[in-house]
Amino acid sequence: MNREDIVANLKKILGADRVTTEEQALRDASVDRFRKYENIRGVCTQPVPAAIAYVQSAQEVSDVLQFASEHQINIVPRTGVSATEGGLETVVPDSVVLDGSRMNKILSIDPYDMQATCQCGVSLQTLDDRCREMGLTTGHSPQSKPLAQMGGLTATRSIGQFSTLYGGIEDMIVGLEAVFPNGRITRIKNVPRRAAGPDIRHVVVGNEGTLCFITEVTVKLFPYYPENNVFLGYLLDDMKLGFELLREVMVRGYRPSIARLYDPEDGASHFSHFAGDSCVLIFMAEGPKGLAQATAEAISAIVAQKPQCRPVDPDYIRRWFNGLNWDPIKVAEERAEIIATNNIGHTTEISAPWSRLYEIYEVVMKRVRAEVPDLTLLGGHSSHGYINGANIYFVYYYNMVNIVPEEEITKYHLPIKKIIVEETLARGGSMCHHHGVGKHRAAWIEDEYGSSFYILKTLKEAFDPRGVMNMGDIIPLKR
Amino acid sequence: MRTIAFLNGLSAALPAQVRALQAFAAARPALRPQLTVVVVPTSGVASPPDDAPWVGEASQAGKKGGLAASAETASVGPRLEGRPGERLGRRPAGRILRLRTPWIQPESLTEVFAFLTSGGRAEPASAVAEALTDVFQALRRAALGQAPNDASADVIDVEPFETALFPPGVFGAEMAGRLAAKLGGAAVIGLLDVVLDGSPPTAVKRVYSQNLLAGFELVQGPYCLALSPDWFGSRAGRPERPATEPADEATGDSADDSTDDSTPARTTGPGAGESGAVTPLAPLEADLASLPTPPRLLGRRETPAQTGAVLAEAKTLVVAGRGLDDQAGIELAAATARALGADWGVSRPAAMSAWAPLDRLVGVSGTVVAPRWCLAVGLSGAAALHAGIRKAGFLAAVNSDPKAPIVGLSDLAVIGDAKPILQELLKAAAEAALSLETRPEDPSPETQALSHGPAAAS
Amino acid sequence: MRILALFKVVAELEALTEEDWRVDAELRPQERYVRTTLNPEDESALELALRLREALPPGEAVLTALTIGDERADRTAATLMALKFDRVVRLAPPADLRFRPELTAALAAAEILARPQDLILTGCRSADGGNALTPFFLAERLGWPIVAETLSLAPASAPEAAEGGEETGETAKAAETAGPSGGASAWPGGGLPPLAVESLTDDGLLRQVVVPPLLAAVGNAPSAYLRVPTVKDRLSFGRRPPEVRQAAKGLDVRPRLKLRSLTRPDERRRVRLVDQGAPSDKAAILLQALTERRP
Repeated sequence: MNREDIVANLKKILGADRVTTEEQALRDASVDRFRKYENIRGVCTQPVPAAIAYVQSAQEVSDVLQFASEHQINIVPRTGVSATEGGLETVVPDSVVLDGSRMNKILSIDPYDMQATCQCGVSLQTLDDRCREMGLTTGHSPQSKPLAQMGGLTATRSIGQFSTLYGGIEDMIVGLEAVFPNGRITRIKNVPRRAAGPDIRHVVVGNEGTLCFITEVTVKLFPYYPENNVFLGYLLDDMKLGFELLREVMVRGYRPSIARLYDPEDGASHFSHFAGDSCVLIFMAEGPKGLAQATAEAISAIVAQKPQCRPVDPDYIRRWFNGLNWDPIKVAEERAEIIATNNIGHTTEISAPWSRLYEIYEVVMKRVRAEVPDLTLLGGHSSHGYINGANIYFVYYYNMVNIVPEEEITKYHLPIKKIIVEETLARGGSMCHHHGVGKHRAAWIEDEYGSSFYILKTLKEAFDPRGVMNMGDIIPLKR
Repeated sequence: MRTIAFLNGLSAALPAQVRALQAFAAARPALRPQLTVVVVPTSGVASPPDDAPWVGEASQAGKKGGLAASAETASVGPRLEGRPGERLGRRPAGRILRLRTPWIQPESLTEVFAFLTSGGRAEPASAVAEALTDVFQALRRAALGQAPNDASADVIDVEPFETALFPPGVFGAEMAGRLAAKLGGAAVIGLLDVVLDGSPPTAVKRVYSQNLLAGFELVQGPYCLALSPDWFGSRAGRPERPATEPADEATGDSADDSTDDSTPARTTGPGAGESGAVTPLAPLEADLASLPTPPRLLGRRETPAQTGAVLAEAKTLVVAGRGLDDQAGIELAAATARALGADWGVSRPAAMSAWAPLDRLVGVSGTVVAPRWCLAVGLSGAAALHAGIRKAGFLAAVNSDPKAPIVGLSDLAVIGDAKPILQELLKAAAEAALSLETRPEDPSPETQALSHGPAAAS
Repeated sequence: MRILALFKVVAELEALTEEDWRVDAELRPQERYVRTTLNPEDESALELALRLREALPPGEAVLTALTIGDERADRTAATLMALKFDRVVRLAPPADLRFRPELTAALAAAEILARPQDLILTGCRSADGGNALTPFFLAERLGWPIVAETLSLAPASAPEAAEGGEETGETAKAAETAGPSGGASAWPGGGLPPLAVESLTDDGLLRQVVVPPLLAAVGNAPSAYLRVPTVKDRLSFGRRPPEVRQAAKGLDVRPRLKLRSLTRPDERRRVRLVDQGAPSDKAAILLQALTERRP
């Protein structure tokens, strides 16, 4: 079916005011933050989608997906558009971007059952602000909070800055509603726990739009005690020691909401006003007063055993935290600076057991520094701790030298990602901690899964037999 | 305490500068300039613009066409006209002096640009500053009864001048800064308010990028004060008055009643015999040939503003910020503005990204506006920008972040993505074909204040 | 050509919350805990210095960066070292310099006179004090000309100098002796190459061709962000420590004004918030409100 017919049909299904075919909007919709440089420079390397369709009900989603299945039209679901791994790239010609951001109603906030239900287009900031007014919080606070919406946050298995206490989205989701490519609208009910077969929520949570379109989610709520927050900060010179201290805190059974370790390079861009050239170790304890105090005291005692760690005025940490999230102003600022300085930065996040973390960090630093030109910043931090390991978030900036915009990815970004992914997989870690696979780590998906790739692949074949849901994402397209 | 006001006579901004100084001084009797010096930097034959309005009694001359109305334009030359021994009237209220900047006086100066233009436009700022310094110092010396430092200087019998007042803009800020540097006095650039007849004298301006209001005690005179472009309306709630009619000006300063107004100023220059007419001073001359150092200014050219945007006069305005993502976004905002019959400007970040020419910059470092309505799109409302639009009668904002500072500062805030909303607004405005700016019964805040006579002052 | 850029590191004011803007007993907002950044106009001045070095023949320019501030400026100092400034000097301030441009100028002048320079670049005003006076006071102390609101500067060519402004006898003569290449030795003023300086005036753009010494105070210079040093350069050059010293003592510079109060103005209006509806609905509301000038 050609583009005009696709558009005509969509307009028939949804109404003309719900279908956008404006050229610049379509070009912008063909990429996400992975290709931000191309987009800033007005270069469009991806096939331009045929239309952006805005849905406002599960039935409309069902109608559109059935239409797409019938005519084998690639659908790319999206809500907040804050993706960073190419998940939103419309790699198949004449795709349709299915936008749920107008389904933005909060359906209920229930302080007795401690659950909040909302449509997929509700922004997390809006939801959490509303909860906070009631003395509650979702506990979910990724840096994209001002931009991201609930559908996308669920579809990517997102995680927030307080995950060490509250967990990731997978720990917060109670029930949901999702629509499958054959038009089936399925609802998973809200119960605290059940053992009634496999946990099918996990077919939906993290599917990145490759299996279904999420229209509604219910998340747990927690009490909000900001007045009890206790911040701790330390400077130290040894990254390895930092990882050991993170482990110590987790393994002893403490659950601070934040446990972070920054290396000097990454740290310098945040803490130069007090940290000099040191690594920075940060904790935050929150919750009921007694619990927050006890956690903070215990962590202080653990770190105090290492006199190499110099304590920092907690006020520095508290204020830094207030300014961390990515609002639209920061995004716009970033664009201007990229153009002016010809310098750009990206991130890649991995996870690994405690025993392999520092090793991965070290070898990645060495290899990237040696093999990739024009770097202006290469560093990393660990920000999500578990009893059995943690993540590392690599940060890298480089000058773009002698390239056309399209080459930024091939000359710099992908080579860096390749090093990180290879060294992590070789040591038994995961190449994707929380950003999702997107299009650009799909090449390594079979290495990531090994024999269990069979399970992933079969899910795709079962739920998307016609191959219309965000093709190229998670599982690469066959060439 | 006496005040001299300085104006840039050859700038197209002169009328606006005059109005600003008039209105500012009108509400502050202690600050009304006893002497207004219009710097008309020429090398000789160029005459000042015809349409320059004037303060005080010379505004009558202004009605005939400004500066040129006085006969002394005939004998234009690089000097102050008049003769040694001439005295100004004892109360030279609202007098205007035409100061023709002299050639440089090397022995009294630090290195300056040699004045090389001819027939020309504005002079190098430093030479102007030097000239102003000389005038100021000569006047002070005379006032303090000191002998002039060289035979060609003026002898003027006036009361001590302690304050130099400058208009908003680049000229004013620069001259205030230079003068303070040379005279050792306190300078306040970006002045919102000043109280000179208090003890100690105090001044108010914004600091920390417009985020905080600072009150200063002025310790060292002379005080070199350059108005902020957004001084307007800084007296909360009171409309600022324009300069009063010439008749009022003569009765003027209530602080000093002992003046003998019946004594006419004695002059032999043109306009002599009329009270308050321009009284020339003795010339200050310099000999170019005796320059000890070779000239360091090798070339000079001024080009008018890129687009001639005169945002300061805009009655309705759309201001766009970096939330519009790129130049195309700014163009959309501009098109929407045109459909609404409004002018358009940008915030500093958008200008710094070169999405629009610098003369579209709105804010305290660009143009300060006082439109009937202002639509702020895709900008956060940082204090420096807000200072430029806070006088708007009606302020509406479009922003995707409900927490952005601009929201609380507006009358109406629409939360959402700017571009789609602008596109719809453009469509709707074009369809309505409305011209929103002409509402004759409802003048803009600035017009309102300036048109109120003394009767409306309280 | 000995080029010196005078810069200041300030708190990132956008990071201050409403609470932070409440000043303490010393009339300071709570700026100590937030990130610091280069004063924007000083950042432009530093970048213009680097561009000028690139535009001059190799080895012609010697770049110094000078700041008067505490250790929060050290990260920037390291960045400037990594960008291959020949010297970076930090003077520890003897007092609260926020509203003391005359003292800042005196301290800077003392340092500059000890190691003479040919061109000084600095921002017109700082994001915090905002006096907009330091450049004028500094120029006066040095006895130098100053161009305010500079937008750009670059080496001028001989023909440019000749036709840059209205010509006089001097200009023509200088242009003659300069010869076609406009070589430094041919210029009057001791062999320093003339600079084409663009600056802003109330009426438009001013372009002057000037022979140094000169102080250029940089204003809103478009697209003049400081470039970013590579990791390699940071490791090779950025490790050289800056010179850190106490500022000159015993300078008799009295304050010309005294800060008496610092308050946060409240200019909030009673806002009507519209966040529901499609863009067309919102546009309709806007259009009506602007027409009637009522929310």
